[in-house]
Amino acid sequence: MSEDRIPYEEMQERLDRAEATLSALRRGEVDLVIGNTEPLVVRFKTLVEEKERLLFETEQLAKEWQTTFDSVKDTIWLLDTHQRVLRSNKSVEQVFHCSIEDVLGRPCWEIVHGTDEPIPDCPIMRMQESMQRETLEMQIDERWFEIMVDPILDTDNQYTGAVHIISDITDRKLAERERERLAAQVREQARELEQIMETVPMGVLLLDAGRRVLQANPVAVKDLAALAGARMGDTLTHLGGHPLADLLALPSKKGLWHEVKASNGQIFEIIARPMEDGQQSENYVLVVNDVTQEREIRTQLQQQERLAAVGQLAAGIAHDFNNIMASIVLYAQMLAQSQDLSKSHREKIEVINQQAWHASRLIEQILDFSRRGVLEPQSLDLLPLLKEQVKLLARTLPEHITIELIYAQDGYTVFADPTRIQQMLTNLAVNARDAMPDGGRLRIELEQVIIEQGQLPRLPEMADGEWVRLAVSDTGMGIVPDVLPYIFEPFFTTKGPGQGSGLGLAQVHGIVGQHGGHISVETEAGEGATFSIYLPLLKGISTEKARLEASGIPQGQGELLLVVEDEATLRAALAAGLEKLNYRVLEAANGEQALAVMAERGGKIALVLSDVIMPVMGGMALLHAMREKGWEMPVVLLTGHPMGKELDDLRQRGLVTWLTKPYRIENLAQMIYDALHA
Amino acid sequence: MKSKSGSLEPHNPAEETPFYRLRLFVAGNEPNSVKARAVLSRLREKYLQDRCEILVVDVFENFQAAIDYQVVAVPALIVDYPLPQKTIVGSLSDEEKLLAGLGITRKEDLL
Repeated sequence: MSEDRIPYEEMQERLDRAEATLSALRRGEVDLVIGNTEPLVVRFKTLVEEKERLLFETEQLAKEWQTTFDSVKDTIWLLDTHQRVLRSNKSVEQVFHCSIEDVLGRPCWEIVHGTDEPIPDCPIMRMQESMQRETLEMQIDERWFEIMVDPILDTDNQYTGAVHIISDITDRKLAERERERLAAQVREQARELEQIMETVPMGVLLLDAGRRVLQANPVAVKDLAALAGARMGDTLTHLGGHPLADLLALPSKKGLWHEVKASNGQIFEIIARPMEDGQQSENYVLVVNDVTQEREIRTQLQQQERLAAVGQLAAGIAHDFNNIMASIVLYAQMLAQSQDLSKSHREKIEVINQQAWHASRLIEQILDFSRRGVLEPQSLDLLPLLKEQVKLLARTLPEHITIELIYAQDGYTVFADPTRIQQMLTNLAVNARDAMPDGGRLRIELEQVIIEQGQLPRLPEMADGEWVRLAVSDTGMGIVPDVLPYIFEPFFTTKGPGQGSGLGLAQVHGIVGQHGGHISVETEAGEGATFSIYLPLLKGISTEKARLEASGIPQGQGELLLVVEDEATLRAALAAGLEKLNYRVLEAANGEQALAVMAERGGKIALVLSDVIMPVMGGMALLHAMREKGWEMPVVLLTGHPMGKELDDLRQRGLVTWLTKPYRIENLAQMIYDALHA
Repeated sequence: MKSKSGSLEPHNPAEETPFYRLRLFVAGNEPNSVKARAVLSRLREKYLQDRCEILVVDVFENFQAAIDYQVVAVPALIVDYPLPQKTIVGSLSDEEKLLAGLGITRKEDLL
């Protein structure tokens, strides 16, 4: 071994060689190393292989990834922080019809939306806020896409870019829409079904095997309460006293429906059907129909038809009788003209005349019933007419019958013949009187009744609209149910022989019908009866009072007047007319009564309106008596002829004035007004 | 340590005028050795043709030669001639370096 120092060149060369060796080692280009002193071999095979394998695998992996990346149908982009596309898969070719190279480096909004800047609802903007996945649905070329963006964060959680995935969701969208459409359809159908169930005018309910009420529509809920006092969820055993099992079977007798009466008197028809849902089912559907009203309507209609038929028959007979009566009267009158008749013959002819007149009256009633009477209808406010009628009745009915008139501040104008309406009221009042031999209360009622469209009318065939109801009630014996269907028939009477013609109610029925009205009766044995007459309300026509106001006729201020007149009807009419003119009215039948009334009031009466010729004490005598007592209130005399000189001076002093008959209400009103304000 | 630099070659071929005398130390069929042999054979084909003498020494068979030539890492190519003697360690993958070491102007890729 040489101990000499190694020459510089050789050292350099050795260094070079060592460095080259190290470098080759680093590059992995060395298979084995040979030891300097010993023949030591270090094999590098595994290292090299590992490196190559890693390289291969990395390439393979990269290839696999690329293939995978490209086979995804969704367009996947890697975006940088400025939303520029760094990488893209091949799907971009299908979706955007361009190559991968075309999109690289371009901002996503340019490619997706074709805009110069991000759209307002850009999911990437949202994602940069939320730092989590954001999505956006949009349409490209009539197809639907969902854009999903996920942030890419580095190890320090810094945002470095985004993964941007565009998925075609057209199929999903279409399926969704179809599903929504179907769901809406189902909902709509369910809603319709529910509406049908709520609208159907019958009770429909569903029973399970245990006869428990599973479902019931609103009508059925009411029906159940009436029939069994039951509610939804209750178990049924009986309906209206019938065992449920009987009702579920078909009825043995007539028809398919069971008839069941509830304890409150309502009548129901019930039909049951087992539910058919493909298999044997223990569930039943019950249909419950409340026929109470229908039955009533049918009965009333039958009654009306019968009355119409009888009416037609009666009219024919009445017409013939009228001709016969005309002949009888004519010949009786001719006979009466004869000079050579004895007194007894003359008396007999008078009887014939009277009886003929009586027969004519009956015929008139029959004609009214059969609606063949001659009507003179006019616009008529029923209230004043009834007030008059009530006053009249108060005088004519026995004392133990009290009369009351009930009305509201409403319009009661109808198109009617006043004499027929009076006739009608008289007939009803007479019946009421006869029903109360021991006294009672006669009540006359006026009200407006409005029947809305679609609302069930109070009576069959009654149209919707506005009606005036005129009701006459008594507190008498009532009408027994057996008799009730026949009361409007002519010649039907419950009164003793000779006490009634059996034409009163028939005439009322005819008159009401001829006026386009309807009539009904409510009664119970021992509880009295109420006859309700409905006449169409005349709308747009003001009441008489309103008409008077509008016509400029001077009105009173509620001053107290005294009307003195012996003729009751005339007095009542005068009083009614003055009340309409807003005066308060006292009445007296003659001068004596008038003085008594004035004395009662201490002479505090604003004006006296008096007839001139009256029994007991006439108008002139009254005037003098008043002046003697120092009562100086103005007096208006009603006279058949102009007054003579005797009153001229009084008249000139404005204390007395007169009006000749027949007078017009306007003139009377003016005269009273002038006298009060002289 | 014996300095063998410039010492006699054990196998002195008859021809004294080969342009190149190359000695490649390999280790059997280890990958770098295979690669180095392939590179060398292509080098001869492209540049040297018959103007060279190439001796391949498998150190698994002739270990002593490696020690004699002070070869530390295999594969290694020793350029005996032209002088000065040079050693290129590795699989000869760096073409530039190889050609530079041999003083050959690059024509085309060997690899």
